[in-house]
Amino acid sequence: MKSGYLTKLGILVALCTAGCSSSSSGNSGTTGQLIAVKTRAEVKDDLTQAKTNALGWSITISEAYLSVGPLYYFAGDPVLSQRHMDKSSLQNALALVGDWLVKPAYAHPGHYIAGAAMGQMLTPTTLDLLAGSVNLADGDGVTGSTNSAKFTWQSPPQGEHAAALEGHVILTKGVATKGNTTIHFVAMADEPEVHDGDDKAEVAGCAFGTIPGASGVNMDGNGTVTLTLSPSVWFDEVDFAYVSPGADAGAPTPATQGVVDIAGTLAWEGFIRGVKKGTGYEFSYTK
Amino acid sequence: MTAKLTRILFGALIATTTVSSISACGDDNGKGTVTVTTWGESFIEDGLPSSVFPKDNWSVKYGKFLVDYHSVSIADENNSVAAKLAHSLVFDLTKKARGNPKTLFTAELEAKAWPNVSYQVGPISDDATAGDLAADTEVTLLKTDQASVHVEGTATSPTGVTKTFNWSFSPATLFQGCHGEQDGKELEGVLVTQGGNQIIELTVHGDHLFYDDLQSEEAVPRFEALADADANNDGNITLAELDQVPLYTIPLEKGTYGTGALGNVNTLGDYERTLSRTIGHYRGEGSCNSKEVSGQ
Repeated sequence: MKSGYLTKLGILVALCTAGCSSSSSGNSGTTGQLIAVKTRAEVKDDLTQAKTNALGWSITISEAYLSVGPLYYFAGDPVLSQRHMDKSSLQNALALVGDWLVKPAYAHPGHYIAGAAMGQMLTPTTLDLLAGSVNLADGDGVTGSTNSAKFTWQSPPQGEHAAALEGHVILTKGVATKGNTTIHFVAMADEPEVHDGDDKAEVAGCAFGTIPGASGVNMDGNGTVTLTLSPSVWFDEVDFAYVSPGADAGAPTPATQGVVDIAGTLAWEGFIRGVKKGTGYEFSYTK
Repeated sequence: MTAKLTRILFGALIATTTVSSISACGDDNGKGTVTVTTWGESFIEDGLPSSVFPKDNWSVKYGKFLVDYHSVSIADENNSVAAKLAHSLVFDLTKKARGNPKTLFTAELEAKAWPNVSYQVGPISDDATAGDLAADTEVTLLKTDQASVHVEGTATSPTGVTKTFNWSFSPATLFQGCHGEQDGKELEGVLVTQGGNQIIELTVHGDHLFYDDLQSEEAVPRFEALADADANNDGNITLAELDQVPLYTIPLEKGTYGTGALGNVNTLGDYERTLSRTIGHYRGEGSCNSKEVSGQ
């Protein structure tokens, strides 16, 4: 599939068309105008505090790094929570181009259709999730109703914390406790392991709205898109019992200083499923 | 393809019949008729053959496929509703219609575009009654289980192993902004023509309950992981058993069971309940924008 390339091409066409139409026609409408979109990343969880996951493990994170690729914003609603959009002439033009390039997809069964491209941030970076909020590279977009977003992982990692990631797209370390059991762990994810059902290192159909988790906002001028990250979602289904001493499946041997790499265990499978959840990557726009 | 051909032929038959009646009457006064029907296609009426399950070659035959249509409305561009379902109707889509399709209602509307067509599956309400070919006992079944959709069936493996299932799904779903093909053109809602009779078929896709990814375009129907969930090996897969299967424990060779951007789908039970919200389509392969209904 060439959808990454096509997405970029689509956005280029959208931005170009927007620029052409606004400059040539003097259109003063409220959609389809080029805007500057700053980008910011925030962490919802207080990682310095222990948090109990769905399986009763109290987890404290001591290190968490994330490799972030381009971010894309779309008119289409998130999967299974969709709303139909009025299309501007720009978006109709883009749709025509899109239909020519790619047959309209009626994906079964969730029917997530990204729809018109509304904006993007294209500069990969790496984040230290314990370091607090950071500004990412500036992006751009067009005015109009925006409802979903696509988060992508960058591999190999680029930017300030790339070395800390040691080639992985996610690297976390911490302590999990339940009853008398304490596990010092490292949980990592490589690029192929975070691929979605379409074999892409991305989470498509994330909510994009006025606040994190909400869907639907009119980007009506220059503004800021905030990517709100929730690492607790990554760990919600991690059952550290699978890596506890005496686990049925055979717990991995602690590597150094009693730290267990959960890779390849069912605990890690739960972690991987968690890092693919859209609720871990929420987008919001403020003017 | 057969299903699509059947729809086309049926549509042509209706159109021919309608044109004949117009010629006889000749006084349509700028109005046309809309008939809202429902059909589960051959997948629900006849079964899903092993070819539908390309990875594990199971097959499925439904014994019941009950759907509660809680509301249906046809509205203009300002969302002013001109026709709607009077009360909830329950249909068993495994029962084949003889002659006329299973019908929810017929309305005479002004000849123009009605771009806002929506319908809601569930929640079951006290005023629900049996639709064409459905039995009162089936309405009672939905009311007892507080279900929007109920399916029963038997799945058969390539080696002849059989598993039964009997699942009631509570989530209610609003399908709105429906769009589909009419006279070879994709359009929103329905275009009512003078003296014409437009069929709005609320199409239910029975294969959706078995797809192995909630969002991927590469998803395919599978059954092996569902069969494996029969923990007590009594041959019947219950929703309670599906609730005990975290998705991360399913081996990749039995399906990705990807949940896309959804964040609250953790077990096979969650997964099936989510799939039950995707079965509604519009005029065959047309689709609607779906939203979970809460607070009913």
